[in-house]
Amino acid sequence: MAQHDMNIANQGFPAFRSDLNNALSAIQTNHSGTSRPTGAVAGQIWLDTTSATNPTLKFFDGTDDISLATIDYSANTVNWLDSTVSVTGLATTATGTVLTLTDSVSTSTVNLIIDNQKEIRFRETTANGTNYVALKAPASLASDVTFTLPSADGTANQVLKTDGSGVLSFATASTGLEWQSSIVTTSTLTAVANKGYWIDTTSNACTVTLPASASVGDQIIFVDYARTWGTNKITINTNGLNFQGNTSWR
Amino acid sequence: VNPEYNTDGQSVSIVYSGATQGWIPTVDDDVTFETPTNIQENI
Repeated sequence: MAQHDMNIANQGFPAFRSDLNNALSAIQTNHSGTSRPTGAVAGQIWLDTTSATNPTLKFFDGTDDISLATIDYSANTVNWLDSTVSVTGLATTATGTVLTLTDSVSTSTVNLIIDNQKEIRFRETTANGTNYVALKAPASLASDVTFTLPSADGTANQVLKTDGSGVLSFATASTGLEWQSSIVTTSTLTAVANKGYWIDTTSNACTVTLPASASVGDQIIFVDYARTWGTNKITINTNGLNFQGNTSWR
Repeated sequence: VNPEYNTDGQSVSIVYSGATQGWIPTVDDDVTFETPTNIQENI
């Protein structure tokens, strides 16, 4: 750290050499010091080292020292302080630290605005190329829309749903009823929720075992495929669950 | 004692309503064929 008045006095050579080296040292260290360099002129930039590990880069306008940025020697980051700072790719009207970029973490303490339907792009591994997955806003919006992500992961095959107010959560998708293509002709059938079965009892009766557990809204349908249930009946094994509130069938 | 369905042409749709009532049939009707009507006229 060094400062110099940047004025080489008329002097003998040894003193001149020393004076010049001091001036060069001041230039080399960006006029580092704990106060504005003596003889500073408007337009001069200097480094305020009042904080040894977080010095502040300042601009002298001829009257005042304007702080430009603080430099964090430990995190190797620069925090630009001006309220209308404009860095390539970044702009904000907020004051103070609005965006911190490091080798591994990017943190914003304010809303991040991507204007004019531009995208947030997530690129593949560099070694594999530059393809990306992008998210962007629709071309037109009647009002602001905010989606709040779920607080935890769902289970396999669940889907995202909304509560109508933008709060998203994982839920099991309604699959509807799935009719079986084959005809059941066996004497037993283990039924699965949300399926429909054609049961042909021409040759024998059929005992249908319901699922051991079920969720509200699960549905199962059985159909007399050959109009023979009057001859060979269908018996329902409730498999431990109530049937029309009747526990005796359990 | 288990529920039985023993009517020709029947279809059964059951929906699970929860632990208290369990499975509830929403449809368990049979489909009957129309009885032919014989019309006799004296000519």
